[in-house]
Amino acid sequence: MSAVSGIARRAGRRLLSSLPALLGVLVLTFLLMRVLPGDPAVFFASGPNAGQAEIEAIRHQMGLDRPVPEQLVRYLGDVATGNLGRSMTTGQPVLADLRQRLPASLELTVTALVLALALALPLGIAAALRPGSAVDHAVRFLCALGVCVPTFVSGLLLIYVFYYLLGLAPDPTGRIDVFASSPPDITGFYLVDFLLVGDLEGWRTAAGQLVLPALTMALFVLAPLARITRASMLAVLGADFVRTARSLGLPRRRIVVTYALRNAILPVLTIAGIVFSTMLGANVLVEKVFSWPGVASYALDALLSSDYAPVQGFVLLMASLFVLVNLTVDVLYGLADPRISVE
Amino acid sequence: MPAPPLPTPLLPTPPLAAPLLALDDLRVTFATRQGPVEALRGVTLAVAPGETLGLVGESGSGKSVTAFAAARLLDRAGRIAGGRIRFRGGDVTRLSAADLRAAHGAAIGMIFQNPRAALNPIRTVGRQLADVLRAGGLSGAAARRRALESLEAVRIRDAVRRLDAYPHELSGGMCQRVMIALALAGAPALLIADEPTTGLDVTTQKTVMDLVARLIAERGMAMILITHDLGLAAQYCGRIAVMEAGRLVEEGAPDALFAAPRHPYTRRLVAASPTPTSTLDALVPEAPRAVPLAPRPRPAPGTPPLLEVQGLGKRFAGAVAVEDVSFSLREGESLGLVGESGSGKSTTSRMICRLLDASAGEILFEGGSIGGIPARDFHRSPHRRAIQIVFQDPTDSLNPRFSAFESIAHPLRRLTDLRGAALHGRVVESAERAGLGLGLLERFPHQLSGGQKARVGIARAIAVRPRLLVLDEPTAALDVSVQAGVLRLLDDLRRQDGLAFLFVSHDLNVVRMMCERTIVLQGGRVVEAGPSAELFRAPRTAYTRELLAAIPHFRPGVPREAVAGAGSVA
Amino acid sequence: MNVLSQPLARPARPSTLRHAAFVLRHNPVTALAAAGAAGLCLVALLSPWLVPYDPVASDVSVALQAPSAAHWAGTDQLGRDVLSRIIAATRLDLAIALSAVGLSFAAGAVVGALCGYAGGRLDRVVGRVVDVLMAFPLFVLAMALVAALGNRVENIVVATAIINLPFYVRFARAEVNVRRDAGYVEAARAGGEGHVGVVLRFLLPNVLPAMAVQISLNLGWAILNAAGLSFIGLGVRPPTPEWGILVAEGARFITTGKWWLVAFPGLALMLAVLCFNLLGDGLRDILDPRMRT
Repeated sequence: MSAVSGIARRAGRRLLSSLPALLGVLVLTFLLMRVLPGDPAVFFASGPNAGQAEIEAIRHQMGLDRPVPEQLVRYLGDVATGNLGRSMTTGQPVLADLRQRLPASLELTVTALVLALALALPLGIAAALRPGSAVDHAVRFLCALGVCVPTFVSGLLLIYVFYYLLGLAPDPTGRIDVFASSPPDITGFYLVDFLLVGDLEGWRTAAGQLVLPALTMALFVLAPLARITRASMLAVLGADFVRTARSLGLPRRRIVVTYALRNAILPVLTIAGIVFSTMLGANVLVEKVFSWPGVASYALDALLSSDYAPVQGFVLLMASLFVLVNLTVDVLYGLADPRISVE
Repeated sequence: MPAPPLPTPLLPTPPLAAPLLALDDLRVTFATRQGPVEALRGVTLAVAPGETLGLVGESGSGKSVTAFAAARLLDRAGRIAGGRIRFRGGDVTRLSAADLRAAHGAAIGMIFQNPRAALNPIRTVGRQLADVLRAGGLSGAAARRRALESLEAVRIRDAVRRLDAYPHELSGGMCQRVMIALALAGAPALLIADEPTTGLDVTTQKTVMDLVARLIAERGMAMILITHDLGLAAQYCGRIAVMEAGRLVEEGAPDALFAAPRHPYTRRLVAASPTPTSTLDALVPEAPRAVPLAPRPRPAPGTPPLLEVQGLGKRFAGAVAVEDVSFSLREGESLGLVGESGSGKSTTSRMICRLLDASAGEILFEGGSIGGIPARDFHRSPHRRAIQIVFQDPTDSLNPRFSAFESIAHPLRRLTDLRGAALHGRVVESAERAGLGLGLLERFPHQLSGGQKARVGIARAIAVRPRLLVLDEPTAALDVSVQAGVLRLLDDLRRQDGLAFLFVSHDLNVVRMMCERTIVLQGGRVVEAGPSAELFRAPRTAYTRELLAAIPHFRPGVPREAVAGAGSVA
Repeated sequence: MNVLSQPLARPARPSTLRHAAFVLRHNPVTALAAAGAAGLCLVALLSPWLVPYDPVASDVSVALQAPSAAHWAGTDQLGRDVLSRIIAATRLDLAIALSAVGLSFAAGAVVGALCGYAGGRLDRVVGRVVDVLMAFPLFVLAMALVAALGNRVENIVVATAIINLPFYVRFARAEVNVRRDAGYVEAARAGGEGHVGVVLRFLLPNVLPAMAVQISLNLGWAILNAAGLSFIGLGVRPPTPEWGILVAEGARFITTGKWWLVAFPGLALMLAVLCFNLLGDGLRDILDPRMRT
């Protein structure tokens, strides 16, 4: 089909055009990390009293005594071969660390996004269908409030209410209860892995741990999603072609769903992409509050202890993820809007 | 092509004499932030089966509101405050949403202005047609088959392929045909057409309206045509109703109505509408000229032309917008530049104003080349003052943050040495000459009417006393009665100052009145050029003939058939 | 001619003020938000005289007390009065947000307006960079910047300004771009105005009101970002009172039910952001010419 090939071409072009951006991120993070305070050689040395000679030796061994451009080229070469360096705090290769921790972050982020969309879409649509009604005012109030509460506050308050007061939620640390055993590592997503091995009890425990952080994150992005849904739905409901549909006597369901919603969803898609990437950043805060063993908390710990490599790796990972998210949004957009594939 | 069999009408058919649609003292109010506004103040109107009614009036007259209220399609802010709407004798004023849905499409179909926006942008034409047919009770396969038939009925070439096309893949005229197919798909008894050809070129307008007229006649449908164009209404309607400020002021058969309008508003409207024979003075008969009629300036023979354009061309990203356009303009002469959208007339005028650089050719002003000065630097040229422009959209062309005074004063500050009292005096003088009340000078654009804004734009252009005034569709955004005043004002100014005009317009009647010579552009090239009187009386090229024939005309006192004939023969 | 003898009054200001007053009367939420924002600024200015206790003086004998008449917002683990610390933090938090937004606005408006007006290759390149920046997890970028530039308050300002920058560039660019071909711009050119004059005298004044809305909305966002950075231990450091730090310190005691350590600083954050956001929404209404009478 020509439409599909059009989308594929577009996606391919987009991928190609994002390569320079990725390269830019690489260089930028490299330069940033170069000026970061703290000398890793000192950190790696045997102790605070290590001799100058020992530090020099380590610097030489790490290539830190070479000129910056040469270091950059070496770094790029390393990245190209999948060598992201070694974390000084964990002693593991950064790639292995990231691979191990990424599923935790993704599971949290994706759950939160699905949760947020599941709440925001109906709310936004309900508000747009009856502008000025109680529902509309409630949604707008929620939106105004939602963007004002930082995740690290709402997360802590949720912990207070559901863990301390009500006792409904488990101890808010980590992905799984300390006494429970984690599932076999198949996909890395606990919810999926527990289901795959048929361990419903384990699944429930994992889900219990996930609910509060996911809810925290979802509340944070609920407002922009509901807001754009409402605005876009309102705009479309006032559009000429919806008036045409009404003048033609189409059933209300068809007008609202096929004519209005399908058009209104396009801006929501774009915003959802941006929201996802915002969430990747906001992960840092939520993972810290809930001691979630994801990539963001890993990078944060490394950052605070002047450990270059994990931070570089994390930023690169975020950049690649963001390229992927954009690509997905592009493809979805292309599928939803025939005007795009022409161009 | 035979019309598809009509499904049985939804509501019982009344006796023949009974009207199809009857509005009785209909009142509509709109809720605005400033409180409720009365849009219809009691409209009583009836349409018989098979009748074609033209609803004419200027903006704000309530003609579209009438149609939307009659079809029960008012948006949320609009409310029927009083009166009755009857369709086939049944009261539909307060019909429930479900019953209304059945009536829409099956009883009343509507077509709108801006057809592309009226179609769902992300659904194929075929599916949109099938949606309507399925809502009318057809099954999927039958709906698709019928969709194809209805596209063929509106004369869309290659209909099978067009079924899978999206609206953005079709031209404006094609979109309107699809819209017509949609509106007729449910075989309604009444078609309401709301300014269906606004934004379409005059030749497209003719084909679309001819198509509508034929389909209506074939199917014995009634039609309400809402338009600001008296000619269009006269040509396609059996009866005309004139609206002003939410009221119906007069109705009757077009010939009688236009030959002897009784209501003062109708008289003004008829007089102000340009026809192939009208003159500037006839447009505003009740208001005498402000200044005695001086003869149009005639330059002494032998003087070099004020403006000479040679081989002018412009390409945008490789596409030709204007190619090899040459003409000259004498001191005090008025030259018309006409053409349809995409003909390059606006591009040409922008290049001559030095707001846009030409890709090829030469522009000479008073014998000196100005084409070589980049548009970027032309504001420093001494000629900047001599060449001024009046823009098409009066709203868009005024800085929202400037008062009328500031707008007029701005070019004086930049291009002249006038300051203080002298500047102030010149602004006031220009405003007065442009017919702008001095009390309006402190106002901001959003506090002025369209006609007032147009006058601010004219005052601004004449304030620096230019030699050449480029007018880019100066009245296209105005109602005819406002247009009439502005046109005569421009003509007065030209006579008084000996100004030369380059008058860009799509309206041939206006150009004929305003300009001694006319150039017809098509696809960026000159098709025909010559003295206006000759060119309009005996066009030499087929394209000009087609353009002239496409203008819907009415002539007070002359039967329509004769007028239509005159257009195509002349 | 009477009119000729006296120069015409230059209107605008009084009518805008009247209009603002009209909108505020009909839109109490905006009036409330404006009052709230003004109140916040007052608190920030007068904080040394408003605090009931010394915000950094510890008194272990009253550590971790729940809100009471003596300590309206309770005390922390060192017995410091939470309310005093919240009030004292207002100045720092607002100062960071205001200077960050001011910086990015100044730079963003100029760059954006230039790109929007000039178009061409510069515009495409800047547009591309902005797109990349905007879609990149900005909080991560801010983290990295603060870490790279040094863990100091000035660098929180710089980092917050940089992550705000793309919004202003894009916004100014879009606003200028849609007006670039407006009739009044061409009219100004025909009236003898050069390109620079068009941008400065015609486009920017028309774009500024819309940007004021953006500034107000971004202030809230900047406050959240700065607080988030200090929450994770970047930038401002304890014992300096700062909303994010207050929450971070309280976080350790949330699982033991000491809610006030988190709730009150959180409330302060929320109110500040809410005020600026609602003010921004209200400004949008005030500046919308369609609402003018």
